[in-house]
Amino acid sequence: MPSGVHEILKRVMRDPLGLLGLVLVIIVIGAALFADVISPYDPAKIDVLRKLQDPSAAHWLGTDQLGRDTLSRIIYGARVAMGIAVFSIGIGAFIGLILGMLAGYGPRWLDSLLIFFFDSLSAIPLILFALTVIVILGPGTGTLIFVIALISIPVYGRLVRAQTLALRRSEFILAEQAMGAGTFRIIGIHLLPNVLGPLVILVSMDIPTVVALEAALSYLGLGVRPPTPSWGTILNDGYTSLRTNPSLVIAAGIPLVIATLGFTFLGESLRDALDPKLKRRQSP
Amino acid sequence: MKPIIEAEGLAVNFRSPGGFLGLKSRRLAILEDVSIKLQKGETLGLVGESGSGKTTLARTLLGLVPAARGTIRFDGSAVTSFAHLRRRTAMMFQDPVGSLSPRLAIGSAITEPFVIHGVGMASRRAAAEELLRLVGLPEDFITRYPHELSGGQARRAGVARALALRPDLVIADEPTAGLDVSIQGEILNLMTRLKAELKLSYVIVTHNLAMIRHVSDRIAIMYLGRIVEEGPTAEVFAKARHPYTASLIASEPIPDPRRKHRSLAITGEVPSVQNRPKGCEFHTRCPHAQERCRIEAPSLTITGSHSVRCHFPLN
Amino acid sequence: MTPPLLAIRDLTIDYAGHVQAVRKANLEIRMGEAVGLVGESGSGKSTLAAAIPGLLPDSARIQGDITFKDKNIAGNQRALRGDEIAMVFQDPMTSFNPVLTIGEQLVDFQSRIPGSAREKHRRAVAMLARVGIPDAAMRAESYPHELSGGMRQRAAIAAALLVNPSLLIADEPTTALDVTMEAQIVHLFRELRRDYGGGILIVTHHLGVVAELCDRVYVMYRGDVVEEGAVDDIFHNPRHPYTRALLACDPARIHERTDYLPVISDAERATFTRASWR
Repeated sequence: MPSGVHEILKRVMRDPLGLLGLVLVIIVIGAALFADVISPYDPAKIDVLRKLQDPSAAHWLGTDQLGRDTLSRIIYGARVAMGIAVFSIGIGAFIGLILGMLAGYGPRWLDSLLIFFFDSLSAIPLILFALTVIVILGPGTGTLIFVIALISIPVYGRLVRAQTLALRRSEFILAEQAMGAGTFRIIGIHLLPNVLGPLVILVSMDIPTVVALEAALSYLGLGVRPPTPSWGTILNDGYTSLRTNPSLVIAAGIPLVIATLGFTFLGESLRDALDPKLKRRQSP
Repeated sequence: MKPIIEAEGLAVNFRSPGGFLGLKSRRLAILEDVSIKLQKGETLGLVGESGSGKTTLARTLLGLVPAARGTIRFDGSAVTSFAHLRRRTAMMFQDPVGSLSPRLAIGSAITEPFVIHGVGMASRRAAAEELLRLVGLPEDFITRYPHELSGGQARRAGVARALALRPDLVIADEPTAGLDVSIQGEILNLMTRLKAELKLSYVIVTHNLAMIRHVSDRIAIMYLGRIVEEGPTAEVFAKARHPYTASLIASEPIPDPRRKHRSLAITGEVPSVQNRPKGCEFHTRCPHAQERCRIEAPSLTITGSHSVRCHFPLN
Repeated sequence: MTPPLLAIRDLTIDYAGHVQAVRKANLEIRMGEAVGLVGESGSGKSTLAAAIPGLLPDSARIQGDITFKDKNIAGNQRALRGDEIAMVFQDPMTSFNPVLTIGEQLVDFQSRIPGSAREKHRRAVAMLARVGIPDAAMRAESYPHELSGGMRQRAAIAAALLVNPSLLIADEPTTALDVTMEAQIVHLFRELRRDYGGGILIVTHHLGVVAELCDRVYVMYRGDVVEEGAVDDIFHNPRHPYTRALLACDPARIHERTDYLPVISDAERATFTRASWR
């Protein structure tokens, strides 16, 4: 597997869009991780005297309606966006992976049960469900993560299940059984790596979706609570002062675009890189 | 001499899915009343066309497919749990590249048996190199991946993996399918040489009559899940007793323009297992079928080491 | 002497930068003749056959002449495809569209022939019967997956003959079939030849099929046509070392049971490219 990762990274970097995507993703993740270090100001620091200023040397992207430095808020917004995306998708994918493999490799009754579970979860309309949970549990980062994770479980679960079902009948799985390999060995060493590929791709394509979802909910005031900076909240703030200072809206829109494009390009490049059939054929 | 593997009255069924909640599923017989015996050091050819059940029989012998009825004895003792067989048997699969785990390097793939059974190796790499040498593959193949191998190379890797723990019995499913004629000889010769060196016994499943004639000591012909004829290879080819065997041998196009087949040895198609003919299951296509064949299923007639399932055997 | 139906001269096919799949090949087929094109994997035989109706991928570069009925068609084969030149492929499953019935597809294949749909359906059923499919009228209503492999291959042959092509190309027509079905398809081809006056090109690695059906044979090795001749000469008097080695390796030709089968060593292979049968 380690050699595989190295090989995959090389291929992604050879693809121009993949390389661009990788760079953008690194920028976004870097901002999230090192927000404390690179942020010029405290994002929560209010300075009403300097509200709604245009971009200047002191404030590269200007200030918002409470005088907070927009650039700092954007940078910390990356932490919020990435944090929520990583946790919610991470939990959803992890549970989906386990349930999917159980459904695909386990006994038929278990499969039927899990499919029923997946179908039930998917039947719930996302926005309605999100709104209901938020009303019950109160808005906030935790609620958001819970909602998104729950909704994404059936998506990942079904993908993993389909992959597992397809692989279960393959000759190499039969060969491992013929050699006497136990169930855990087969699932862990032979099924898992072959199932992870499509899952990783889906995950990286879902991140921009979750980021946008979080931004949308925050824009509606149902996401993270102030003063936590979220790109969606900044967009909302910017909208109210659109007439006087459009720089806020632009400033909030740009990171959203960067994150979306970055993860999408990276995801597509990963998909191509992970497809062994696209490998340049070695001499026969 | 104890036979290395022996099966008596094997039956394998398949439940075809059907209806709501599987209520209308049907039980289809894939193997019916199959008995075979392989002596140590022998190569048995399992010959048949699609639908004959030969691959299913191979897999059932190793417990990869559950048998509904029948017993299997390995090296004299009845098999109660197939887990014990795993170390002493090995299987080579029909799709040489597909039977190798796609994300596992060849070096790891062929030493899987060591890890699975907890058999010590000096080092995994050393064990892999030794196996590659055994089958004539270059040592740098350790880091290659299955999709980078040609059909012939992948088959050799399959041989290496099968022989990793020096089994007593190797079952090879279509070892030459998809290979060029000149490469077929290489793989078969490798298997023959290793058989002598490592004291192996083989079951070779194939539909390639020309090849199995040279490579096997005994041959069993299968039709619709039953063994219709079985005996020493030379004898069966020279004096086939079952009309199906005779038809198979006569059907093979001969690579000699001066010996063209004037007429068809056998017409029609193999009946579907869902619609087994009554009586002798071959009677719908048998050029010698008589009234009795339509009504009564023949039992096995044994003459010496040659057995046949037919009311009116030839020769 | 009438000009050949198909004449290929100095045909070279390569895929942008890679090894040449076919190198300066010459091949001729006359009306009424059955020609065999024999070789192992990598010989270029399938590439050559696919070039005739123009079925190669866009990345293939073709040089040389392909003359069909006295007209150079290289680069222009689409016009003749399915009309004058018909092809039967190895895998009968993928020859047909799984969501249409056999009958519907056979009618569709006649799209360039004038006539009513009913007339075309009648012809399709008649052709299915001609290739030995029992209950042809009923079978025409079946979907491809409902037919066995042998039946599908027969249907594929029926489809090819339906347009009355001057040239029928069969690429490994029996490789995917069982022995008894293979014998039946070989028998079918032999029978059809009595009525079908066009030229047939059979591409295969199965020497038995070539011996049964072909009048003349071309042998290919790694892109070169290494030998050509009447079928009897090729089998009983082979001149090129590769042809001899290929015949020697075929287990069906070895009469005495032998423990070790003949192979072609690397040293031998090195001589094939240097030797010339001329």
